[in-house]
Amino acid sequence: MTVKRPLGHGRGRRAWLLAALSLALIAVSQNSSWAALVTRVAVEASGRGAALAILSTAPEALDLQSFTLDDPPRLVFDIPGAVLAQGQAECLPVGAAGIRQVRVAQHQSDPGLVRLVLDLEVASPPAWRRAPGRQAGEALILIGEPVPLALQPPTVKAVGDTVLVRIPDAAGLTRCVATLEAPPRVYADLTGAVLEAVYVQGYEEGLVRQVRMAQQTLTCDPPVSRVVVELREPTEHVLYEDGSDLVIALGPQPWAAPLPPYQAAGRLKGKGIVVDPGHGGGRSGAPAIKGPPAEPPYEKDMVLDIGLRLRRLLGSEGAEVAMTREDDTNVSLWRRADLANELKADAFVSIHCNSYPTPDTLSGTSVYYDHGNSVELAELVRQELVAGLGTEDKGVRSANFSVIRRTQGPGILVETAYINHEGDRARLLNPNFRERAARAILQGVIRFLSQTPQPSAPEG
Amino acid sequence: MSRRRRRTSRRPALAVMLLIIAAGVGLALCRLHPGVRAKRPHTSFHPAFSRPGTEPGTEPSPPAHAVTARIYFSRIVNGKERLYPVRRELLAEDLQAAAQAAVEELVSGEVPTGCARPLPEGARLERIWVKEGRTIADFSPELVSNFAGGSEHEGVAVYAIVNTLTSLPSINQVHILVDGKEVDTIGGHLDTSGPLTADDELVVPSR
Repeated sequence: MTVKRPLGHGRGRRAWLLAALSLALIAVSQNSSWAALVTRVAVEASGRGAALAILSTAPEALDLQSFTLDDPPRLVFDIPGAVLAQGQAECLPVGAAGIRQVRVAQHQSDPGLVRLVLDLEVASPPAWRRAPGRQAGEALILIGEPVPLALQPPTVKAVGDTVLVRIPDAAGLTRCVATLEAPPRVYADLTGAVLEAVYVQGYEEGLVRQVRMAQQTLTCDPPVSRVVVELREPTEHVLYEDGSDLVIALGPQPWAAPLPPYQAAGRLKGKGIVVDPGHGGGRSGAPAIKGPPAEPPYEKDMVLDIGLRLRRLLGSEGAEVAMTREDDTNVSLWRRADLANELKADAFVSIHCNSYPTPDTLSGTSVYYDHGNSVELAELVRQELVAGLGTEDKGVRSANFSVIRRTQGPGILVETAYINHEGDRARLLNPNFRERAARAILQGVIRFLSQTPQPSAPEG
Repeated sequence: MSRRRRRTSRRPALAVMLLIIAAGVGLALCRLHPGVRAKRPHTSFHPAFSRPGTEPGTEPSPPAHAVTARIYFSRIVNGKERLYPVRRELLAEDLQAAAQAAVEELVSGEVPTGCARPLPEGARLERIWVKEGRTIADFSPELVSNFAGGSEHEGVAVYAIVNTLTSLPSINQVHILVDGKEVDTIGGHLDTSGPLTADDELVVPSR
């Protein structure tokens, strides 16, 4: 280790000094059994919480000491007896869970001490807890309350032909989803998600053979958890967010397939249509998962989306379209119908999602009318909806709902599907399903207006 | 006032005391009568529906007699939610008491097998008025705030009330109020701003 021959040139001397220093450092880290080498510090944050992963070569659990400092407020984690690997002294921006940034440094060299300083945005330090890492020598610090990034075990539920694998609180995590063969499986990588334990669950029968979750890697930044669903046979998969959950729907789902661009042919020239997305504003509609009071996803949002799609489609066919609402505002029931009457609309379509107080009880599509001039429109729209959506056919029914009772011209109220039925909601949450619903209503309206000679709308 | 009274003789004071005692006895007697007299609505709320001669103590209570009502519960038939009528005998001294008892059967009475309660959890009848075939039924705010359903269920909830009340003799219209006020809608589909008549289309066809 000693160098006998001194070098004459200045540049050469500096190089010699650097080499000697490096060698000394390596010697310290290798010769001293107590020195844990911290190889990586990674931080992943969302608006709700943050996870701090510390990877080291320590043969057992890292010794972590924490304390707070004021002015400016800081939360500090010390790892005594540790040496920071080269290039790992850095400042990691966070901007979540009340943490501005994390600074990582070799605070003291003999004995070694690696210090992580969390610069806080507020005076009070956030709640945190330590979770075991994947292996000894790794530490996981989960910051913020609640800590949504720590994944919980998924649930598996068969709904009709489809199987829903639901991962609680995993909505909003960026992810990639893909399939693998032999055996057939679908996996989703949840970026920024950490697991406290590996999870494996087998299923005796059905489409799903096994569901497992594992920390994909903590060394890559941000951490990634992988959910693998092993199947008995290859099948379609659709990934969607249901409230705060992430769901992988497996099985045939023809309604979710993308649609070709709509080919308009000017079939509604000279016609006036009023589209009425139900509810809105403070009236969010029927509860989907939780409530009352309802929590997202909201009926008002889904029916507005279908309504706006319908407006675009009707417009492309040459119709004059008026919306009772085109944003998240509530409109009185009377005002909705009055708009159709004022405009002497050729058709009025109110769009809703159905719901029954006990979840997952009823499902399907129904179309309501009130007066005789609307029966045909209701029937044609029902035919198109059931054919296009593959939902349960609940038929055409009469009811004196305010908006269709008050409209003088042909008016219907469409209950697209049940928002608090898991199978129906999987559909409603899919944009391709909502596009299919809008196109089905459009086809029903076109058939109605092209086959019936229109009597002039009655005078108000 | 009191000072003036004190200045005069003792006799008026004695008379006042006697009056108070008499009123107390009267009230106690009233409470002995069965029925819902104690829960009578404020007559000042809807003057049109106050009934003459119903002030406590001004008339003897008629004896309670049996009235048959049809109570409409929710039942799923072929994937559709319907109204399922059940006959119930109610003991009531008059039509108003019968109307109240009928709604209370709907809210808290025994639910027939295979049926569900049609009204949202926590929804209670606060007050009820009956006059000339029309009923005003005032419910607690939970009727709206705890409503969890779509158009189909709203129809069942609203017409469970309307059909139940109109099953009583001579009632043919029901106006639903919530927290003492008119409401345009319970769940965003049905217009409840005015009186409603029974809807038989929602009823399970009789076997």
